[in-house]
Order: sequence, then C-alpha cells, then structure tokens
Amino acid sequence: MAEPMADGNAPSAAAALGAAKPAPLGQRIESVVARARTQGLAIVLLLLGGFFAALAPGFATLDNADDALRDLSILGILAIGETFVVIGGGIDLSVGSVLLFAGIISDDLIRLAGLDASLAVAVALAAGCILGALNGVLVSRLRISAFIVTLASLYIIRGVGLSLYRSDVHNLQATIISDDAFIFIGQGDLFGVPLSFIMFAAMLATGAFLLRRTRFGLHLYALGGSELAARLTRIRVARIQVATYVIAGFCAALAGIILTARLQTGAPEAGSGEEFDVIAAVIIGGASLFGGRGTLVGTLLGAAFITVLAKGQTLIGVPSNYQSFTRGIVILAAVSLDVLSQRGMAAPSRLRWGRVLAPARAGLDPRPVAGTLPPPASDAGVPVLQTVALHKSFVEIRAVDGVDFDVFVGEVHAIVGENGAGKSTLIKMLAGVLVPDSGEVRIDGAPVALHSVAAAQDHGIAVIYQERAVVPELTVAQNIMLGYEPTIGLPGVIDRPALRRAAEQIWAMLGSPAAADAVVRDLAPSVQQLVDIARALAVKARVVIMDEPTAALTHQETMRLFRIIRELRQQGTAVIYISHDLEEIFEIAARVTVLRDGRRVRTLPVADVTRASLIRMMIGRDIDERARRGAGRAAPPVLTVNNLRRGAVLDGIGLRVGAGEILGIAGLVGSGRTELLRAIFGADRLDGGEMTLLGRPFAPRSPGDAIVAGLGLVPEDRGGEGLVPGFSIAENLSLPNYDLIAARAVWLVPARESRLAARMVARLRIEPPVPRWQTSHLSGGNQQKVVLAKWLARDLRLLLIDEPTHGVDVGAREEIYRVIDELATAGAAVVVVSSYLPEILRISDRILVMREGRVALEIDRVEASEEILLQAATGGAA
Amino acid sequence: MSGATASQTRLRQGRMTPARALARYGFYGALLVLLVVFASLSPSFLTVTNGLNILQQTSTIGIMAIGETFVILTGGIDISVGSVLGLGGMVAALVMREPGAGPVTAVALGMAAGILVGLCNGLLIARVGIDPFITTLAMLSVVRGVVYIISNQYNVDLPEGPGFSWLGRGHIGPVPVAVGIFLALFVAAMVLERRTTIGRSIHAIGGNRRASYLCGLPLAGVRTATYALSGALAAVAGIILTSQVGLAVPYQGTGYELDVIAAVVVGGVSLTGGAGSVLVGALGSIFIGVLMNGMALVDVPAIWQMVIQGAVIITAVALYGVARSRTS
Repeated sequence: MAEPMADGNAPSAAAALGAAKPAPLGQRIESVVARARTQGLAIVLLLLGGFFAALAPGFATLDNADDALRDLSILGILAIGETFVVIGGGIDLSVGSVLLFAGIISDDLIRLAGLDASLAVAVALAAGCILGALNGVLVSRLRISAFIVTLASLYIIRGVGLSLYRSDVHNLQATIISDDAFIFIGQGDLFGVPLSFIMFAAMLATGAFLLRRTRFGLHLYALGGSELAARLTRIRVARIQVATYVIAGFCAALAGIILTARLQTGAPEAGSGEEFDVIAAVIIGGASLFGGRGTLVGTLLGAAFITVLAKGQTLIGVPSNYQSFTRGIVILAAVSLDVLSQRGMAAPSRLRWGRVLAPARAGLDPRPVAGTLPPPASDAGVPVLQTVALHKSFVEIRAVDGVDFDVFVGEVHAIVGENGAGKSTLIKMLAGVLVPDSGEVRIDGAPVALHSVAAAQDHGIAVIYQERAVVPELTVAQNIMLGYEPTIGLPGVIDRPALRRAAEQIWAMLGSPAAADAVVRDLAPSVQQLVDIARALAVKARVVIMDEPTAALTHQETMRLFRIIRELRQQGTAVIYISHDLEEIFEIAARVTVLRDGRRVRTLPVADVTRASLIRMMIGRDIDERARRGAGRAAPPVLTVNNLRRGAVLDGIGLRVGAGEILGIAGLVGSGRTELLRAIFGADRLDGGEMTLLGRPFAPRSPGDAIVAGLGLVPEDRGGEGLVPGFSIAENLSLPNYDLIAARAVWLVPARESRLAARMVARLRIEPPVPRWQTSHLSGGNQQKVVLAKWLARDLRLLLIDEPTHGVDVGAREEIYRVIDELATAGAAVVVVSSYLPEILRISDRILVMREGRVALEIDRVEASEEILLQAATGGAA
Repeated sequence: MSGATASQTRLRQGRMTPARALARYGFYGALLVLLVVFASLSPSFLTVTNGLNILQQTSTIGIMAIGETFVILTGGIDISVGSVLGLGGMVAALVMREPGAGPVTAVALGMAAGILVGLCNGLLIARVGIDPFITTLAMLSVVRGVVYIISNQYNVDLPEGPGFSWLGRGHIGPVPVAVGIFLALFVAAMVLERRTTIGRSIHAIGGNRRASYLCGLPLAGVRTATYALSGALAAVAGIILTSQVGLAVPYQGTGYELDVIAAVVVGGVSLTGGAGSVLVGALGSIFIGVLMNGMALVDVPAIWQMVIQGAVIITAVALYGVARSRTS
C-alpha cells in the first residue's frame, strides 16, 4: 500500500513498508484530504485546459503544446528549487534575479568572450550555486529573516546582472547566439519532446527521491516542521538550510540558461516578477510558507496551472495587463480554497487527544514505592559527569554562578530550585546548546568541550527538555530516530525497515502507547512527551538529563518512567532529574542538589532531608501547608453548565459553582479540562449544551463577551497565551482592561493605567515592583502573578484558572494561593484546573474529576483524598 | 533603535553594552555617516533647497510607510501598496476629468478606492485566514490589472487648473504641501499609536496574538483596520504623486512596495511583529529618502542604486537582528 508522493506530508515509514498496524483513523483521513487536494488541483487543471481549448483554436495544437512545455520547464525548474527552500521553512525571492544573471553571463561568455558553450554553462551554474550559498549563509549563520535577505539580494543580483548587460553589443542586429550546442538546450527536441522538459522531468525525479528517501530530505522536513526540535538534535540545521538555497540558486541558473538558449540572447527583462509566479506555483501545489510540508508533484501541478493560465489567456486574446488581474484572482481563489479546506482539518487533531490516551495498563502499581534510594558507595570513584566552577551570564544576569556538581555511574541525582535558580541554563550547557563563560565540564575526570549538541551526544549526554522537542509532522518512529537514522550506501538513503525496527524496540520500553507510524501532531501531549523520552533513550547515553519530565504525564506514565529510570540505573546510566515536585524527588533520587540564584546551596543524600528543609533551602523560609477551610456555606450559584458538548473532547459536561466557592477540577491530561474552561470563556465554539450566569442564559461567542459578563481566564500556557513579551508589567495588566482605563473607549488615560498597575503590583507583591519593567525579564512566578493580576482589577463574577502554579517557584505559589483565597472570600466564584493533586486538595471547596470529556466524580473537599481522586480520574483500574 | 512600543519608558535591566548601544543608536550613527558621505561627495547636498527636495521625496514613501508600519506591527505585511498607489492616482485623475468634479471629490474617491482594497486584504487575511504575503502579493497583481483596465492602458492627463495640483506642487510658506501632509499624518499616527486603545491593541496583537484573543481584543477588526489604513495612505501617496507629475501613468508605483518595506525595516520594525513603532518607521523613510537623493546627486547609475539599496537592507536587518538577540 504505497502512498503516492502527493500526500502533502513527510514520507511515512509505514506507507512504504505496507503497515503492520493500520495508521490511526485521523491520519488516514488527513492523507486522503491531502491527496484530494492534489487530485482536485489536477481536475481543475484539466478543466482549465478544456476551457481554453474550447475558446482558443490555437490552444490544443502540438505547436502550442511544445511552447507550453518549454514555458513550463523554465517555471518548473525554478519551482523545484523554491520547493526545497520553502519546505525548510525559508523563502527565496531572488530566484528571478539569479535567472536573469545566469542568462546574461552565459550570453556574455559565449558571444563576447568566445567561450565554449559547455564552459559558459558550467560557469553560469556555478555562479547560481555561489549566489545561493551567499543567501543561505546570511539566513542560517547570521540568522537574518529569509524574506529580507532574498529581497535584498533580488535587488543586488538584478543590479549587477543588468550592469553586465552590454546593450551596445547586444542590440547590434544579427548578433544572436549561434552556438548550435547551446541553442539546442533551449530549442531542441529529444524524441519529439522538448529537451528542456526532459531536463525538468529528470530533476523532478531526482528531487523527489532526495526528499522522500534520504536523510537529507527527512531532516529537511524535520527542520521545516519544528526548527526548535531540529536544533535540539544532531540535525545540521545550518548545512541543510544553506543546501536548500544552493539548490534554488542552481535551479534558477539552469532556468536562466535554458531561457537564454531559447531566445538566443540574454534578456534584461527576464525574471522580473518571476519570483511571484514561482512562489504561487509552490503554494498552490500544497507547500506551506511555515515549512514542513510540500511535495514536488504538487509543485509540478502548481507550475502547470500557472503556465496553462498564462498561455491560455494569451491565446484567447487577453491583453497582458488584464492577465495580471486574472492571475491575481486565480491565486487568491486557489489559496482561499486551500485555507478553507484546511479549517476542517485543524479541529480533528485537537479532538482526538482524549481518545488516543492509552487505557490504564494492568499490572501498574499506582501507589508510590516506599523508601528512598541509598547514595552511591563512597568508593564509587570518579564521577561520570562533573562540572567545576561553571559560570554563565546573560548581559548582567548571572544565571549560573560558579556551580560545582557531579553525578556518578548508576546514580539518580536530583536538582531543585526556584525558577531563576539556574537549572535550565545549567542543563543547556551540559547539552551543548550554550557555551559556559568559564569553568569546566569533565567526563570520567577528563575535561571536555561541549560546543554543540552533536558533541554533547557524542560524549554520551542526552537531554529530555521541558518544552517538547518533537517534530509534529513526522511519525513517532522518525522522531525517535531523528539524527540516528540507519542508512544504506552513500547518498544517505534511509534504511526504512531498520529504522522502524530500532524505533519500535525503544518504543516498546515505554509501552508503545501509540502506533510507531502515527504522526506526532495527532497525539496527546503526554504521549508526545513519551516520544521525547524515547528519543533520549535511543541515544544510549551515559548521562540522561530530565527536565520536568513528568509535567505532562499521567500517574501511570510517571510510574512507568520511574521504572525505566531504575532500569537505566541498573545499566549504569546516570540520571540528572530536575523537578518542582518534591514527592518525586524523594521517590526516585539518591542525592539532591539545591540551587538558588545561580549557586549551589547544598548537596545532600535524599535520606538526610525532609520536604520542609528542602523548601527552606530553596527559598529561605517555611511554608504554610494547611488546607483551606472548606466552604460549607450556602453559595448562591454563579455559573451552571449543562450538557456541554464539543466534538469528542467534551461529552456532556455539567457543573455548577457558587459565589465565594472554589471548585477544583482534577483529571488526567487530555480529559478535557482546558477545553472546558475555554468553552466556558467563549474561546472555542460549542456543539451543544447550555450555560447560565447568575440565573440568566449565557452563551459567549468570544472571549470579549465573557469578559463583559464578568469572567476571566488565566490560561495554561503562560508564555504562549498569557503575556505579551515586549510589554511592560503595566501594559500587560491593562490588556483586558481598556474599558477601565480609556475615556470613551478610545483614549488611553495614562494616570488610570499607572494607578491600576501600582495597585496590582502591591497586591500581588510582584518583584521587582516597577510597573515599567518588561515582563520577559521577570521570573516565572512573577510572570504568573501578572497574568493573574490583570483580571483582579476587574469586577469579577467568575475566574477560571488553568494550572495556577505550573512552573512556579514555591514562594510565588503561596502568594498565588493567598490571592485566590482572597478572591473567593470577596464573593467571586473560582474554578481551578490543576494536574497536581495536593494543590487541588489544598485550595478547593469542592472537587470535580473529569475523565474523557465527562464528569467522573463530584465531591466535597472534606471527603476527598488523593487516592479517591486518582481512582476517579483513571476509571478505577488499578 | 530598540523596538520600543507605545510606552517608551519600558525599563530593561542592566547597563549599556555594545549590543544595546547598537540597537538604540546604530540607526542614527548610520544616518550621520550617510549625511557626511554625501555632503563630502556633493556640494549641493547640504543646501536648504536640497533639504526640501529630500523631504518631498521622503513624503511619498513616508506616508506609505506609516500604513505599512501598522500592518507589520500586527505581524502582517502589505505588498500591494505600490499598486494601490497607482490606483489612487489613476482614480483621482479620471475623476478630475469628469465635468463638474472637483479636487475634493477626486481625493475622496481615490482614497475610497485604497480603503476598499485594504478592506479586501483585511477580509481575506483576518477572516478567511490566508497568509498575508500571498494575499497582498496576489492583490498587487489584481490592483495593477484594474489600473490598466480603467485607464485602458493610456496615460491620463490632469485638466489644467490650480485646485488639484496644489497637493503636489503647492507650498505652505516654504514647506511643500506634500511634506505638510506627511508631517500631519505622522503626528496623527503617533497619537493613534500611543494614546488610543486601537494603537495599543496593534502592538498587543503583534506581540502575542493568542494572549490578545484571550483578553477580548477584536483581532479581526484591528487587523482589517490596519490594512484599510495602509490602503488609504498608499492611495493618498498616489494622489500626491499624480498631482506632482501632472498626469497618471498606469505603471506608476511599480516596485515602490520594496522601497516602503526597506524604509520600515531600516528603521527597526521587526517583520515578525511586536517590535518597532511609527516613529522608527518614519525615521527609516527619511533614511531611504536621504539615500536615494544622495545617490541621484552623486550620479550613481540607476542599476547600482538598486544594488546599494539591497545591501543597505541586508546590513540593517543583520545588525538589528544581532543586536536584538544580544539584548534579550
């Protein structure tokens, strides 16, 4: 069951092999739609051709076909190069200029310098490659926007090319290129088919092979799909980017040569505006300007479409200036259809999360394993990994300030600390992502230089990051083996069966919670995190660093992970484990190091510390961990929700929450909690159900409606959805409050804005208490306070909070709990979603447990416990 | 210059470092260098007459740059401005030829045409969801086609008479009217940006679209408004240009979009949105205006002017990019 190339996605390992397991339904639907898009395009193309054939007698003739094929070849070759660039997430606007340039210098070399045609062609092609390489270097090494670089080189190359066009010579009559060999390139036929078309077809085939079967192609799709993920693996991002631009330059030069050969003279107006046609062809063909998608078959159809359109219009007598009008309309129509057809696709991906979660597996013990692990024996010898006086500063901030750290073979060493303590920076230095300012990293006692991710991996260090570093467009198997694909032979052709076997072996260690050929984009976040973990295991590291690995995991998955960590220990792998969850540390680690303000406070065997003493070391004071007094009072209802439905994620939810009450919502990741909050807030559309607010029907069609009605939402993803990074504290606090600080809804009043900011900064104890401070320079905890505070300025009836203290240090956590408590006491209703059960138990009056889009349990705080909640969340399977 | 938004007084930690200095003052340094170079190469550069020339040339690009800045600040882009310039001028000229139509009607209809194009862009980009680059690229073709169609591919002469030509050739005291319009629009834009909710919303949406959505900001409305504004201002520039030249040429404005984007980028507006301001966009226009004027005075061949402009763009963006990554 081989998928045709026109599936619009990265090559699927399963497809080529004849899948042992059927691809998940969602993935099959998406490839059908992608194929339909391409088939739809082919049909439109045929209709268009028929239309023109009917209207213009000269259209359906061999002469015209010959002409059209030559036109198509030139545009098509240009588009092949552009496709590579666009898949990688870049863009090349200079291709028209390179075409011009190559055409003119080949003409000059043949006629003015008297060079042999083959030599002139070689020089022109080389020039194209060099120009492409220059583009590539500027984009990848200097990290300048591709749009700007190629826009500027469009100017520059065109200018230089035109200056080489000696019009005095070229305009002499009867002076055209007469070199027969050269002319043949543009005008000749082979077996009745234009030579240029044969060249185009050959390049198409080569390019397609490169994209679908080689490592280069796979890494290119990976890079386009997620540059972050690509940078965190061995993928040589810069090299691949430069290569795509070189390919584009080569193709543009070739196209220029063919055009010059066809016209028998270099043409100064050539290529002008060509870049628009090329990009249109590529986009119509299914590629995305965001990268990670696109096929050469699509590009072929897109280029054919543009060519037929242009030719047809000319033949039916449309003046060239009207053609520009119709071309624009057609492109708009094509792309609109593309976008609209994709709208229907975006939703299914989200909806499937709930279903893809693996059911609770038999044999897993949900109760924590008692006891802690002993520290390594004192004669353990030289540590496998050690840092000595490691320093790293960013401008003024000393992120890591002389840290000594070590971990031994077979040890699990935990690192704890508040946000801003330096944990992330330390990890990035060990991973080869950042270079230390001073200090040493030693492996087995010998100093090493970890100057790149590949270098760190070669030394046996693997990292599992907090941000999921997976490439959504690729499959599970491809992600796991990313950078380590087994190949056959020289050009990096991937050995697909071997890749699949290797990936499945590792995936099985994690219980294979999804098909190995499932596309990662369709999986639940917790499963995606497992893919990340699998990739680290694939590296067969000596040291595995895990940064908050259980953040998105269910309890079963966490237990499974701990099992794996214990196995790694047995095998002699060292594990560095970073977590905010102190319970996990007590369970899994042998030693723990506390970091504070970039320095190491202490390193102790876990057996010698208590939770309280750890917290004290982290922040320097004690924490009040008493549970909130349960409400128990009559609470007039603020919000009632009845039978809420949204696709497969929300399956008939009902709840109520009263004034002054805090409703906690627990559940596994993927149970629909975030979607529930968003639906209540009007951020997503509902398929069914009713809500009432203060007794009246409530159906917000947008967050604006909800806000006007007195609601607020603190989203889960602080960075992505909570704050505007370039704004100050005050500006972020004002974001939903323009009605409060503006006169007549239009004019901002600075005095009102500063008063609001000052009030909130004081109330939440935001550090530093300077409203003009840019929020991107705040710690995670203070950022979360800002996200919360902007709602507190309003007259809230109901505040929805999704993960109030995710990634927040202990001190800030307490202040956030205090504020939530005050809010409820003042009479507002609060709904809190949290994955951290102690937190739910700490602050809620009543608790709801969600499971697979429904309410599994509703219980008062006083009757609840972690076990009860967990059982309800997992369906009671133990 | 750093990407300061409406609130210029946002504090950053730490003291001045070379990277910070570059980001904040590099632009002024480069402008100074430019002025010095041209002054030494051409004696007529630093004269009042030439100064007014520069301002006149800058006004066209500057007016368009104001609109383009707003669009780019939200994370979009408008490549159709060159064609809309042509459309505005052509519509105004055609209206002026109608008996009984005065300059006011001509200007109004010209601007209306620009706003209409902007609304179409906004509809396709903000409501249908097509990529702004592709949409405005296609619109560039469509609008240029319309210009050719309505003019039947001929130049359109303006009828004799003072009214309309005042815009392009008149003076208020020593200052050309075009420059006066540019300055007035600039001031209005600054007020819009810093003192109104819509101005703040533009910066917010560019900085973090999802956060803005969840705070109830009207995304589609604001974005559409920026495209409408961009279209209106491009049309105004076209009207002024037509008035200056005395006739509307169908290919007028071809290629101007690149000049406008160059101006905005050189000033320091980030193409990904969320960094920059109307002020820096306008300053960038002055830079480009000075550059083009200087190159013409020094008799740089047209072809090499293209090359230099391209090099300027790359250098500016490279330096800003490096400076920004070192300061955050």
